[in-house]
Amino acid sequence: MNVFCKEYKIRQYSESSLIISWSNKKFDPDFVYHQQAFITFLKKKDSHITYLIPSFNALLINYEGQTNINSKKVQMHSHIKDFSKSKIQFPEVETHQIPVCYEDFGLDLKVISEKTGLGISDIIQMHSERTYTLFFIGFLPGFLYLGQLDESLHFPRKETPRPEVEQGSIGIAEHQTGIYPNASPGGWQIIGRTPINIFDVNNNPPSSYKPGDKIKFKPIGRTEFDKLINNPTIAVE
Amino acid sequence: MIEILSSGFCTSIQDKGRFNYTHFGVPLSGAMDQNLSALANLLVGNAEQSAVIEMTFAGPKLKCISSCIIAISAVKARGNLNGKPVQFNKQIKLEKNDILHIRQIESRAYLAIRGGFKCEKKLESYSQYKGITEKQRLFKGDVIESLQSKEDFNKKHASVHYDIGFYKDEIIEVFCLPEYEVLSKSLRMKFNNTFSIASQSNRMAYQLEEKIVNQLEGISSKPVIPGTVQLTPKGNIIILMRDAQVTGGYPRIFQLTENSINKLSQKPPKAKVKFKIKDFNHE
Repeated sequence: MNVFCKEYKIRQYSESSLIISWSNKKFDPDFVYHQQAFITFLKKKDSHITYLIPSFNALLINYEGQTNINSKKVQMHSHIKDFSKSKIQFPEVETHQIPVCYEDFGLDLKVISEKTGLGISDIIQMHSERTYTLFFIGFLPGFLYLGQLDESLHFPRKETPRPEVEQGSIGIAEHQTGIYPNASPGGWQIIGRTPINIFDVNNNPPSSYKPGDKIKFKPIGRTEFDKLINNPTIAVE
Repeated sequence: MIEILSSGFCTSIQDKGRFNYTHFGVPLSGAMDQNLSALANLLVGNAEQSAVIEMTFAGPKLKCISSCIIAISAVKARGNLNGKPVQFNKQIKLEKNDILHIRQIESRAYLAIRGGFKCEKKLESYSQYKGITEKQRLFKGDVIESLQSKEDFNKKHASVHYDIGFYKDEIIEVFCLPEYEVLSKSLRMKFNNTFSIASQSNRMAYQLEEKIVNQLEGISSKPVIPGTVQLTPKGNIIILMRDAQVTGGYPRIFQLTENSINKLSQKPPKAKVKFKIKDFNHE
């Protein structure tokens, strides 16, 4: 059995919430699939839940204001036990392809090239060759944290963040690569930009990505970028 | 209907918050002081969680476009209606062309309109937030409509009891979180001191002036909610507020009670606060 059903602790977090913490120290896709299946299981079991916040080794569960948290805590142990005995319905792992224009938008490609000794085309190739796993969505609404980056591309954040990074920018920070869903201040090294919208508040759900999904970047030229950014409905394969 | 003639310092539409999207990294948002926003709503006969205008320190100047019933809740505030002092925590009828100017607020006031405001609703909430709603706050020239109220207005003197005295003391009640338990006894003692609120305090987080030097290591990114108190490696104490990110990597020391979040949101920079530890089992 996965660590999910064994190595955990449940404690009260606030007047209306519990937190479950697991012992795993690193991101583990198998754990994340268990956690997502458990969230679906839990929502069916308990209609008093108002929101859930997952991270790769914790889960915060908030209940309606008038709920007796102590009894929820007791219940949670049996929910996990029941879940471990049930036929677990794992989420479907989707693979998403995201087009990226590197050259024209990779503001920090030159710095990375100088510091690492890699050619710009090598950086693009190394970045787009890998299939990444989505660790989690956070920091900004819809921001995708992806890993693992090829070791030779590990690069620290900028010492002074940019006051504004463009929507769709692809960044690098240490062992991770990420996508800015909206324009925002940002400290990641920018290596490209995608013309597609990865987070849209007018859709429900606003993001079609979930932790554990696979992401692959497809290098595109400026002409295709301009075409796609003006026609966001064109399907990209 | 109301037009914003000048927006004031930080004026925005808020409701109870945005609940179902935390796993997409969407902050909870919502009125900083949920008690006072509920009070304003109750005074005009709305449901407690209806959308209200949140005003901070220096309020907006508003023009009434069509007559409406409003209430402004505040701990302490000054303002004028057509040049004369306006009453707070009471129902007010606004007539067409009335000018309402909220001048000074300690620290946040709420304006509710009978029927509730009709404005941009995104991801099941009216709360304005950058990247979610089109505008992150109210601006000069914005016109806000109100929803039609279902029932006839008959509670002319709706009386809602509210204890404004609650906001006066320095006590902020907290529960201990995991990283408090790994602090040394001498570091724990330092949290008994009185702290003062720093000027870098906003809807995302309040900071405290005093630092607590520590050797805590960062943690892997974990869930956090409004009211979580973080201690950074540089010793800064950060109290997350309603617009906080949903995950954070700084050690988590305390969690404020819901009422203490409301109380803190009314404290201006330089105000003193003192943590009082509560036990989950003795509420």
